[in-house]
Amino acid sequence: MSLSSLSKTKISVIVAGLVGVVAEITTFLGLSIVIGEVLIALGVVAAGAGLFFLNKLARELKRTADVCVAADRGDFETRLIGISEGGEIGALQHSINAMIDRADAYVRESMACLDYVAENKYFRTILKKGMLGSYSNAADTVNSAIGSMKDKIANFTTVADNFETNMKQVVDTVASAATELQSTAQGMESTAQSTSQQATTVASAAEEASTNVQTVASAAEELSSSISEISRQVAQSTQIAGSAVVEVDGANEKVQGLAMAAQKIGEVVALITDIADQTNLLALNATIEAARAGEAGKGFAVVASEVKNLANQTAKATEEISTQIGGIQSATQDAVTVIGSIGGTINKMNEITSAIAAAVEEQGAATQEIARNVEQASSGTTEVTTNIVQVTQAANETGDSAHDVLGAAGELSKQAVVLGNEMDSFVVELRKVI
Amino acid sequence: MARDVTLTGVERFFDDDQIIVSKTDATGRLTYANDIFLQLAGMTEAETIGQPHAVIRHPEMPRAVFKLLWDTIASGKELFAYVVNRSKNGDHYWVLAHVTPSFDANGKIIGYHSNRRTPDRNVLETVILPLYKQLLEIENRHANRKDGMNEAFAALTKILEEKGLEYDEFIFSLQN
Repeated sequence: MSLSSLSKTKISVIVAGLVGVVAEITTFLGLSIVIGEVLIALGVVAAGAGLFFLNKLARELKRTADVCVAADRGDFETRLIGISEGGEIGALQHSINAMIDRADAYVRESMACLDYVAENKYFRTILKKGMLGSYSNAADTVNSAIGSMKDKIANFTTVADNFETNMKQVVDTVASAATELQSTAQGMESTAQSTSQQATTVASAAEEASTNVQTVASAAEELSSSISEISRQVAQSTQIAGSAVVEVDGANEKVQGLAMAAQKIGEVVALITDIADQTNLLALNATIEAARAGEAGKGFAVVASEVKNLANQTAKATEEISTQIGGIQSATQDAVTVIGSIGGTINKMNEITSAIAAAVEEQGAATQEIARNVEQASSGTTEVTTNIVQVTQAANETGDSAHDVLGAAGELSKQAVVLGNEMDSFVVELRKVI
Repeated sequence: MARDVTLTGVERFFDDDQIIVSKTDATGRLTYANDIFLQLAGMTEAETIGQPHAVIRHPEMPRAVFKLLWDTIASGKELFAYVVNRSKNGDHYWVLAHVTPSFDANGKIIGYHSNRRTPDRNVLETVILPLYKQLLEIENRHANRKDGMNEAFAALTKILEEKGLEYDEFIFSLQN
């Protein structure tokens, strides 16, 4: 049964035609009516068979067309099942099945492999075996497209990896810089605060120093005036000592004069003593002479005795004077010694006074020096005070700046975290793409 | 239909340009088999249609591979597998089967479709035959078919894990 309904129809038509011709010839030749009738019957059967096969052919063609229409509409599930036709029609039906099979196979291959691509898998390419002609070309195109996507995705992955690595590094760097900045700013702020505090301390110290300097200055001034007073007193005592020396000299001279006068008195006393002695001798002589003169000389003798008494009294008085003079001379000598000693003392006093004067002068110079230094110290403390004000201001500004920086660093830190999170979710999204 | 389990040891071949095609309904019963299918299976269309796909099952095929196959396609995915099939007369033929579900317009699985191409002989001999032998030995160690199949399946999973490949990656790594 290798013939198709078409061939069978053809045979039936030919048979019917041949039967008709034979029947015609038989009738024409006037042969047996029976044969003619048999032939007619045969013709009818052949025509009936032809019609039958023609109907079957029509049904098969209809069925085949239905499958083709379904396939045309993209239904690759439908096939021609139970193909009984042989020949051209059977071949046609089998070819249609094979055609749909091949298309179905290609569609399933390409769908499945694109499903993999959709899942970012690129190892699943179209298996080309059994894909012929245009299917083969299409498979090549799809496979090369997948290959290029694979390469691009690989590149993209590398780019994403690098991006992630680099950005992570940047974010980390920013975060750690922010943290460092924060701690630096905190340090700066506290330094500024302590600077400010210390500046306040320095300012009050400078103020105290200024007060102290003022005290020293007024002390130095007092000292200076004390020194002037001392200097004046010293000068006066020098002058007084000078006057004392002059007076001592005068006293010395006077004492010398006194000594000389005592000497001279002594000389006069000796003369008186001599006179008294001679008077005594004379009185003695007179007495003797009076005795010789007896009575006449009695009166005289009395006078002579009186004279002798006087002479003795004189001698006694002069002796007394002499003793007195000796006392005077010894006192004078003592006075001379004392005056000399006074002179020495005054001279020593003079020397001491000079030393004091020199010392006082030095003291004065020193006091001047102190005063100058105090002046300098005063202007120094003033300068310190001025500078400290500036320092305080600068410290406050630094503190404010540090505070600002701290705020900015905090914000930066927060932003770094935000950036990091953004980065992470970006990379997650990025990786979803591939 | 009584299954003839005799084997002739004769291998049948088909051309690289040819594809063996069959379709089943959602329960795995054959609804279509193309000429090449019938030719290699040595069956008529009438003998084929309505039969379960196991009608061409070869006893040397590990059941674990079919478990993988059905698990995969029932989940809506494709599966490639090297399969040895049995012809009606006991001959056998190796194919690289590409099994895919067929969906209706709503995405529901209405059946399955298998295209088979000629397998790469080198892959068959160096990879598939030793692997299937190993799996089959595991399966045959068990009196209980299901236990054997599960252990062989676990062994296959382990082998793939050791390779660090999913099954589909593994199969495609063999094509290159």
